[in-house]
Amino acid sequence: MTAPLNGGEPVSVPADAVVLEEGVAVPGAQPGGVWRTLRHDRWAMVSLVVLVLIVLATTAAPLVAPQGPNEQDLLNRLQGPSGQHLLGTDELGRDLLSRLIHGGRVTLYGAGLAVLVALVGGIPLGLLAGYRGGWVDAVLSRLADGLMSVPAIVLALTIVAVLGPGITNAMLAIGLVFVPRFLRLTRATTSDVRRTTFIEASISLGCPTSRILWRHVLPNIASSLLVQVSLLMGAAILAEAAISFLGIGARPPTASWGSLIGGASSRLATHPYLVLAPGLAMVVTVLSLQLLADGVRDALSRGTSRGRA
Amino acid sequence: MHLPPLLRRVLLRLAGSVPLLVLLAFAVFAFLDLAPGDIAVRIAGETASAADVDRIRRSLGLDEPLLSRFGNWLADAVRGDLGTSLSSGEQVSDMLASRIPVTLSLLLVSLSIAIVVGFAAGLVAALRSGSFLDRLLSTLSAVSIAAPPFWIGLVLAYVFAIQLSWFPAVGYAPFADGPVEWLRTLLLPAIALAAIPAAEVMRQLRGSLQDVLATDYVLAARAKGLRTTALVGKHGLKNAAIPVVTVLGFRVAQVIGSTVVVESVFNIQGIGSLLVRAVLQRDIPVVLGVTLMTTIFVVVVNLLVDLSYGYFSPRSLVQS
Repeated sequence: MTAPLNGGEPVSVPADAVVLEEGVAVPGAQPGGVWRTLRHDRWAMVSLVVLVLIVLATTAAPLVAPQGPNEQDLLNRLQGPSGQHLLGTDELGRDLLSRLIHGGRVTLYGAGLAVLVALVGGIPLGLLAGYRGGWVDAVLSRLADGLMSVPAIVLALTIVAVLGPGITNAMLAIGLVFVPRFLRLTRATTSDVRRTTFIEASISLGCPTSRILWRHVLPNIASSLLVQVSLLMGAAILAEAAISFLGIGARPPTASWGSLIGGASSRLATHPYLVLAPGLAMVVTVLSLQLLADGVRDALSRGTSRGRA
Repeated sequence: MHLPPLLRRVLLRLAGSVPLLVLLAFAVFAFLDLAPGDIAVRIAGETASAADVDRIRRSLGLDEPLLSRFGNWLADAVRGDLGTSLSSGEQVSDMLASRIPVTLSLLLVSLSIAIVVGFAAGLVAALRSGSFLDRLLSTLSAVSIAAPPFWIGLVLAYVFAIQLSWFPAVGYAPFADGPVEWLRTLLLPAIALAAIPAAEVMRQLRGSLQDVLATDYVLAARAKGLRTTALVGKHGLKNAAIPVVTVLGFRVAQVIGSTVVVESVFNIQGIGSLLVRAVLQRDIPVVLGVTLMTTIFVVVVNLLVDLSYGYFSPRSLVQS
């Protein structure tokens, strides 16, 4: 047997090592194998393409959008779709399509920030709880359970009451609320990996804990984290929308998908498409994220069953 | 003879959540203490003298250390006194008491819709698995999980309140004014809130019902000639209910969060709109009161969910 230390090859976990929350079985499968399965999943691939397009378009918003998001044309206010303005204009004559594209950038920035905060907070704590076990685990798990029984938007609003409104503060708050989700996932997977023989072998060979966590534990939970990132990204987009709709996140004139709906809701009776369009953009994005997550999850579990067969 | 162990379980669980609630209250309390801006200065006004500000600070007990202020607040809170609103001077507990029935009505109607629609759709999807109807329902559920509830509310308001005038677009009529009017004002926001839990219930029921219908004991019952309706009713639903109830329990916190926004869309004066206003005014006692109230509610609902396992599956009582 090769010793898994001192620059030796990292040992991969046996295929059926890890089972985590929500019945997701995570094999020690190679990423390439998962990708090969995923490539034949039509809906996952369509979602992936849609997401890549959305990310590209919003990142390159100044290049892609026909106009600046706050460029006013007061002579052409509240116009329906036309050749010049594909989705029409709002109450200040601003081009809705341009505001949607730029708004998507703000929304995705906010959602990405929230997920990043959740990852940075949740993974180390989850590794600690899952690897150490004992009272550390008990305390952290109880705290996570407690935090999860506060409604996310309520807790985020409480935090915003102190930090003040704004998209960054609001999404930092949402990220904090999401920390327990990654904590629980990482904890469950880590404590399963922790009990495998090869970790015991690594410990007895004197491999330092940090190296065990980094080289052996993390790679084995990466794919299930990916599924969770995709799902939470969707949840964060919906949370951003809610908070900006209330006027506590992105604030006028900054466009985000939520603040666009909030700004147009008073004109719902006369100009419903101003409310409809940003909402549809959100539905398409979140639906794609969920379908992609479903696809990856399926690909992972199929990889396991094939490995066992 | 069944009651004592059950009662002990309830009491244990309730006792277990007390430290959690106290810890949460302290975290929120200490965190809100960091809020920039001196509350005493805000109340006294910009032009007040230093002596006036000092007097207000002492009268609010703000000159005491954090821990003793929290102790006082907690001692009052246990007796039902949550302090007074900084902006209106009303008792926080009175404000909550006048708004809780509104939000509870909304939650009650939306959860009823979610359960009825979700069960019906899940039943149809499981029994006609693979059919066009099954695929249609699955697509619908995927879309309604991806859409923000307040946006669904706006779309419903446009179609059914503005275009068709079937329902009022905004406002709330108390139950005392007549149940029909009460339901008419609540139906659109309740449907908006029910979209996500209904879709979750449908998915879960479809999955677990398919599992149950594939078991040997169902096959045996079918072989004995039991008709499908009796089969699903007697064996299927009760065994498939546990995961469904669990999912609903998980979702309660989320639905309450959505209530905050949906109440604003329909201009309903419930807990949610109270919280939004308090956050914008930095009315700390009100924020604290609402946060605690909603958390207690979620804890109690999760307890009820746990207890319902005993009804749906008596063996879970023996195991635990």
